[in-house]
Amino acid sequence: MDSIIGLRYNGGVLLASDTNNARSILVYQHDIDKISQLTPHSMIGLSGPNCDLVNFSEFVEKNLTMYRLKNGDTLSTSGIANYCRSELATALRKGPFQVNTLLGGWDAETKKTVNGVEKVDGPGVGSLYYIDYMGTMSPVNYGCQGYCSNFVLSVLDREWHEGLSKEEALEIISHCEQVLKKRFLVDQGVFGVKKVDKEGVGVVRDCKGNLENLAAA
Amino acid sequence: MANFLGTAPTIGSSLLDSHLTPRPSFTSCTDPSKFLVPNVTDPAFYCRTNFASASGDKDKEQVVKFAKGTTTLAFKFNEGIIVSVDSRSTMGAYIASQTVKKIIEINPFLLGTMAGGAADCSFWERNLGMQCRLYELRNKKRISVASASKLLANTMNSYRGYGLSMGTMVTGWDETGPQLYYVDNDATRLHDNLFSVGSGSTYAYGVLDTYYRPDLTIDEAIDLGKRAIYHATHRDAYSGGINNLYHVKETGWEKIHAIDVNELHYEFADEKNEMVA
Repeated sequence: MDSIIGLRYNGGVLLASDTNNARSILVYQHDIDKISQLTPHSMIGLSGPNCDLVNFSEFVEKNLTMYRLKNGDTLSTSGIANYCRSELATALRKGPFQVNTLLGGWDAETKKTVNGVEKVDGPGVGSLYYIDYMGTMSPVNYGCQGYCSNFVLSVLDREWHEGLSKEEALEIISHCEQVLKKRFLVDQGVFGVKKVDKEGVGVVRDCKGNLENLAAA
Repeated sequence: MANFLGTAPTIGSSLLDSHLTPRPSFTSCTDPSKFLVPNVTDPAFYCRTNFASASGDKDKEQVVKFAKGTTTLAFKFNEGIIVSVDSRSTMGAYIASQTVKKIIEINPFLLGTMAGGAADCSFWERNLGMQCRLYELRNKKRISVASASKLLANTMNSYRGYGLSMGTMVTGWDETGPQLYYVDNDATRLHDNLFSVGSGSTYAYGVLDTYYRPDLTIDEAIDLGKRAIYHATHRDAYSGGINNLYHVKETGWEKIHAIDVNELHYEFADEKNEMVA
């Protein structure tokens, strides 16, 4: 019953996910974080069994850390997406990770080195990847995983456009939540929202529903 | 039981039960390279018809079901953690035992609860106890509850799809204070203030969620743990027997009581009568 929603905006990406963990007819926990940070400028929203979520995101995160320590630089978002895809595809034939994911990341558009110091021009680009457990990968402008796609894809189709501001993007997320609350049989409780932009990954609304300072985030 | 161990039974007359007739070719299992199978004429058929869920739903007609029905609960509050459970073990509609110890004392600072298959719970929590002791010997300090529960979740992860049945809460007090984790056979591992597991858990949650506050006094918390289990045993036919209750404190766990839920029934009934009078 997991729901993950993501969309690109000008200079970043937003990811939103429900925060419930249920088994059979019982909700065991209401404040689970299903969006984990992989690198300072990338995050992954996962849907699937709890143990696969934890194992897969920790596995990827630790390997990306190792990559950084070995090579002194982090992978680009498309690099991370391709790495995740290949791990999922390799695992598919030997006890798969049953995770469907949305990967959001931010990359500097152009890097200039001035007096040995790297400078980043412009707001950079946010990119979003849809990756499922079978190893399907596709770069998208907006996407969702789980039952919520039945309700919110139309909203995203209607409202998303190139060059969205962050505030407009948050407004779309809130429209998606409203549709789910009204039309989806299952109450999904609070949605946690995270962003990634030039400043890195940040919490917009935490798993308990507390709003962070939007200006600061 | 002797049949399962492969020793030649002395009551091996085919008059009793054809499945229990000893196989002459398989009288003992002293060879460690051989897999231990029930000592009957057709072990595969016997397992298929008598034991549960290792092979999907092909064994619906099983005669000996694993002990399953249970209510267990644990919650964190300002003065520590209360762990409260029933003690009934059932095999289908048959009550196999009314005196099961469903709170497993892993070590003086760690408790585990038992729901699902009794054998799986007691075996894997005993195994967890061993891993925790090894950690202590290697690192000269006690293991955290987070690590202990992760060890159990990792074990469950490596046996995923093997048909294990276990729903447990791992609780204890470590350097970070009182901690409570839920771990089950899907290797789900959750961290929260309040959990209830088992067939009676929905009833227990009803009472628990209604009356829970983090600032309960110790006596109030013990009473809440006791009442939630009582109400679950009252409505859930697969829960009953005795209410065992533990309090986890900074100095380790302490057993508070073991009360027959039948006594609780009359105690609470008298209370209500007094309220009316």
